[in-house]
Amino acid sequence: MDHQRNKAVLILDHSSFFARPSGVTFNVNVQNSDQQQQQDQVNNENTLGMKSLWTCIVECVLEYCRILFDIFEDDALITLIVTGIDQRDQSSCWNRYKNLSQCMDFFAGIQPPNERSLINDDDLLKHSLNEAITALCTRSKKQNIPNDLDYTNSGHIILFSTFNNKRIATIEKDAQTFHQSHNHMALEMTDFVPLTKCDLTLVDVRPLDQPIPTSNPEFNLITSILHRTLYYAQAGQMLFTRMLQILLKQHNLALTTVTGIPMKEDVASRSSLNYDVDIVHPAEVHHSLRERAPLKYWRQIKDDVETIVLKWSAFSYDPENYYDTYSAYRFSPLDVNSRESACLTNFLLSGKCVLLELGNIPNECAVNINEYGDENCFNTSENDLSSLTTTTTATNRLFSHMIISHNQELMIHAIAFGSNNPMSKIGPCYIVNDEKDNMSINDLEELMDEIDDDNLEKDLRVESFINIIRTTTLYPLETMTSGKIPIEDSLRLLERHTRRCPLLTNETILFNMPSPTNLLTSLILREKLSDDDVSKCLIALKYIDNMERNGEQLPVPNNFQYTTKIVTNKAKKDEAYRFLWREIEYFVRGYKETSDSHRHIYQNIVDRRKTDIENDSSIYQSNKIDFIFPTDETSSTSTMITKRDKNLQENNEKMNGRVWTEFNDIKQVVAANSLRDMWNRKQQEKRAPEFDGRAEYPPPRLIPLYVNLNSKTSLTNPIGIQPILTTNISEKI
Amino acid sequence: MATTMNIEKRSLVAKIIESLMTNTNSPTKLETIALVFFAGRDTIKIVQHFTKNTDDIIKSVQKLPIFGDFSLKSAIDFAKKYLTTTFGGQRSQKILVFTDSSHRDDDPIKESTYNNSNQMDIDLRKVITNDERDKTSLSNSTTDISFVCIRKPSSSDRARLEDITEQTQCSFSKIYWLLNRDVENNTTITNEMIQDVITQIKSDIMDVFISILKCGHYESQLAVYPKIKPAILQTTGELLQPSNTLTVNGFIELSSIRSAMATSKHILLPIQRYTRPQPPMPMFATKKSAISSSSSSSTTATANSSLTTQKKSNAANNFYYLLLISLKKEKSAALISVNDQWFGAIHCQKFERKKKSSRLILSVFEPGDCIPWISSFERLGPYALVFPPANNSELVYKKQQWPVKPFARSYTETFLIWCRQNNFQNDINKFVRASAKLPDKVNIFHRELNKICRGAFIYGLRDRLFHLLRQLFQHQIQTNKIKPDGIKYVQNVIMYMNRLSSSDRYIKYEETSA
Repeated sequence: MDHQRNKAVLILDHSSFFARPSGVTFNVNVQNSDQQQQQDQVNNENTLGMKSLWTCIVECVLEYCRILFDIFEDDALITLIVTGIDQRDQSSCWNRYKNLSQCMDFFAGIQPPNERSLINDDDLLKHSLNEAITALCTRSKKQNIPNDLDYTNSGHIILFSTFNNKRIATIEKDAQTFHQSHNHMALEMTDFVPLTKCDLTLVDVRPLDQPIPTSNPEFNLITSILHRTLYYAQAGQMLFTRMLQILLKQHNLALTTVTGIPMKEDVASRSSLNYDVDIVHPAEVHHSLRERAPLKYWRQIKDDVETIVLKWSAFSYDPENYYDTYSAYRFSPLDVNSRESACLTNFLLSGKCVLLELGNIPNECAVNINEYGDENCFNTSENDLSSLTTTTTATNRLFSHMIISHNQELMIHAIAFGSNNPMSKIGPCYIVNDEKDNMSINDLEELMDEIDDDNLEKDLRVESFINIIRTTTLYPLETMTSGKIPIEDSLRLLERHTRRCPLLTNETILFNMPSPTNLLTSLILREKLSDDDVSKCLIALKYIDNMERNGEQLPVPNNFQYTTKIVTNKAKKDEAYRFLWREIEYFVRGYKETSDSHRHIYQNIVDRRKTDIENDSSIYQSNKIDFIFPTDETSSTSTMITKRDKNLQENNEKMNGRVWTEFNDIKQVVAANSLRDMWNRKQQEKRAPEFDGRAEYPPPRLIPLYVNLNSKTSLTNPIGIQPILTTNISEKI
Repeated sequence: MATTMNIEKRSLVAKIIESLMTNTNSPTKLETIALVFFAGRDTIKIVQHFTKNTDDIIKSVQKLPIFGDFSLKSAIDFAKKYLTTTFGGQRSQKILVFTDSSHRDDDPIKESTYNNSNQMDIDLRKVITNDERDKTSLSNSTTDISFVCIRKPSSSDRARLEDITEQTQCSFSKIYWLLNRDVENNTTITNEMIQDVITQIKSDIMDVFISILKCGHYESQLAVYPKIKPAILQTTGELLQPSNTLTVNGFIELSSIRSAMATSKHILLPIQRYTRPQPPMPMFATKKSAISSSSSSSTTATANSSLTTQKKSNAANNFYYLLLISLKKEKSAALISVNDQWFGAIHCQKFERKKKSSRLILSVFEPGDCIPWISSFERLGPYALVFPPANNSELVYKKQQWPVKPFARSYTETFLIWCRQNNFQNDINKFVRASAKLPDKVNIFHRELNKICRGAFIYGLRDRLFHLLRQLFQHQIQTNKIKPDGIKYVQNVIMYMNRLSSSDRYIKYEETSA
């Protein structure tokens, strides 16, 4: 997603100074009950411990790493350096710490700083600085991609130590020297990239009892590329806040406070029922808010860090709603192990999704419609007045974001929000007409009667299509067999399953057949058939044969498409069986090339001689569509459509014969003719390949005949009768 | 019929809008339009709120009064704000500004000698829902502005319009004009001129994309609205055009695709062919009977019944409806390819207007694999192959979990984060409480022990912490908080901590080491 990830090197001073107590205490006392607490009060000095400065820094650094890894995963480019600890293998510096666990392992292997000071502490720091700049110049995995020559290689060095003016000056000088020499080196060495921007952040860490000179950072431009920032921080909460400020600034992250999270609480607890959880995420998440109004309307300052407050909304937790989102970023709770955060994350990890709601939009950022609209002066219909009121009330509820987990990753989505969803008012279909002038809105309204989903469902073979959906529901594949693209398998499956499958219930008898015949329709779809499968298919065929001999009723659907005028029951039954065999032949023929077994089954059907002609045209007519627009021309040239439509109008009769909705009119049933008639008609419709000459002309393919005739005859026969110049071939075919 | 320039510019603009309105009444009913009138820096009025009824717009236009000067910038600013208020700001919106293009009071340098007694601008806004920002254009702004001018603007006027657009942070789209003052000298504006401009505007903003939806051998033709815009494949920088055919590649459950972010959303509508019959007796034909279709065999049929027959004769939409119903019932989405390496998803959305009616909505994703939780579209395989049924049996579908990327996230796994006092306290509490339950749940006690000891090493706390813990446990034993059977475990642990304090590195506590 983000191609411009900054590298970050964190240097921890391991000198004796950091072995000093920080003033931050920890308590191993277990607070079970009030009574025990009182009792333990006596022993408090036995349970209270003091953290060293070192401990405080490690805590902070690990928190920094944790947030980065949660949000950027493999892209969190972190290198940890502890002065005096040798880590010479530069080549792996961006692969060394791939997750928080590895960072922890690194610290677990380091002894706490020694209380006796070493003489060469300053040299060790200088060495680490050199190491840091070398690391920043080393290619990360992404930079190894050859075409990334113009990659902007930028990085951050954060140095936790103690500083005085002299020391700062030395570090700045050293950093500059190392930086320049490395950039020179980068010109000659391929595995080095020049550092184009580097922020050197110095954090002066002090024990709690030492005051800090200023809480504001001090900036200094060393060179145009190298910037230095100095923070002062007392160990503990202040250091943590500084770390958070640095983190947000360096990696362009921001905080959001999810407020009003309802949580079930045991009755005894006195705390309130609603909680706030702070989450960290890329700053881009807030961009959508800026379009509405300046962020200040939702901003709050919490412990010196600003956060945007969004309200938890109990609108819907159903992840099966498809929200209109346009961006998604990972996020991480700020205090991940707190009870509130754990509650939120567990809720999301269980699969729910939560909409976040915006507090009220300030008046100055929205148009007050009543103020600007002047209803006395201009015309406003009642309709619009009603929509007006809904607009104003709806402004009170604006969903701006959604939090959700994707395969155990927490994400925050920005929702395309507005108080009005125009999509919901769109008509049910797109109407093509041949009118030059448009229809009035009322006429349209009448045409666009909503189609009830339940009514549709009755006629369509939904169950069978749902089976296809299930078969081709996509899942990620971990391993890939070489040369095969999994998604193409899905396309092949879809092709196979829809090859000879009717869309409408009233088009088929075969697919309504009970067991064991239904085995035929499912087994044939397989790519390989076992001997067992083949015999099952043959049994199914034999079964139908027996049914026919015994004169059993077939499950002919209501309003069957091919019902004919034949009235007697016997004839009807024969007709149905004839159709069924025809259908079986057509169905199996579609798959006969799959394997020898398929061919064997097909041969078996042919041998039964139940059907006479082999016909290529589909017997499920609704599967084929007549395109309303020419498919090769996307432009909606109105003249083209009109002509096309006229053609279609001529074929209107044919069209009506293929309607999937019921034939409730008896006259139409009679008009549908016998099956034989239909097949004959079908044969005639079978299209011959287009003549080359005709194909050159656009539909409706009017081709001038005797093109040169006109010029010649005009010479020889100037007042002769004009020959007919064009003829509509399509009429003759 | 020719209209001469003598008429007020106001009525000319009114005429353009009127004509545009009559023509834009597109069969989809997709657009909603508002009219904002502005005259003078302080006089901005919403003449007509967003409506679908174009007649209202026309009526409003005809009633527009005459005002004096104006400021274009504030008008556009206002229009933008109005749009954001009503629809939100993420999807692109369109503003059409009607202006006479020359001479601005807010721009004294360009004072000209034109007589602008009746100058006015009308701002007509057309919101096309969820039309995504044009990725190919340089500007990131989501609001497009087009200007409709009476005369072709001079280059300086044009520059000024572009400048205003930039100031308001919109993207400049196009200028239309009626009279080309460079070429033509005549001062008459004919209806044809208006028509020409209208056709242009219409084709630019109202274009519906006709596409074929394909799924194996099933096909359906449908209208995609708004048009899918070409997009750039980030990995190669290649510009991809949407193909005419949307091919269904497979399906993904809605609970797995989880509102994947889309660059644009489109509504898919089935196409209804509607041919107006030639009324047998046109003289007597009322408006209603004219609509009634001739497809009904009897001309005497009432308008209503013939309309219904008309509606039903749409065999071409079978697949559309089949997909719609199936997706709705199965709570699934169809993964479609718009082009090579460019995917989208179709899902079924219920509509507010009538509870039982739904539409298909297409979400177009950014080209390439840009959805973090779907690492690669091409690596998605069909259920039948990913989870093949055993022993040649029938395929039974059972929803499967998507694989979780093996990455240790701090919120899914327990990490020792000790930078807050209560985090540390919780971990210690768990440990000490586990000790009280000994000899039951030894495993839990040892697990907590290992956690704490590792933490002590990580945070460089071992001397102090182990010392305190040893004291604590001795105290616990003295005060009989540890069950007699558990004491030996605790004593083992105290010994282990003793050893650890002098060790260089963390060694996991194991039963055998005791």
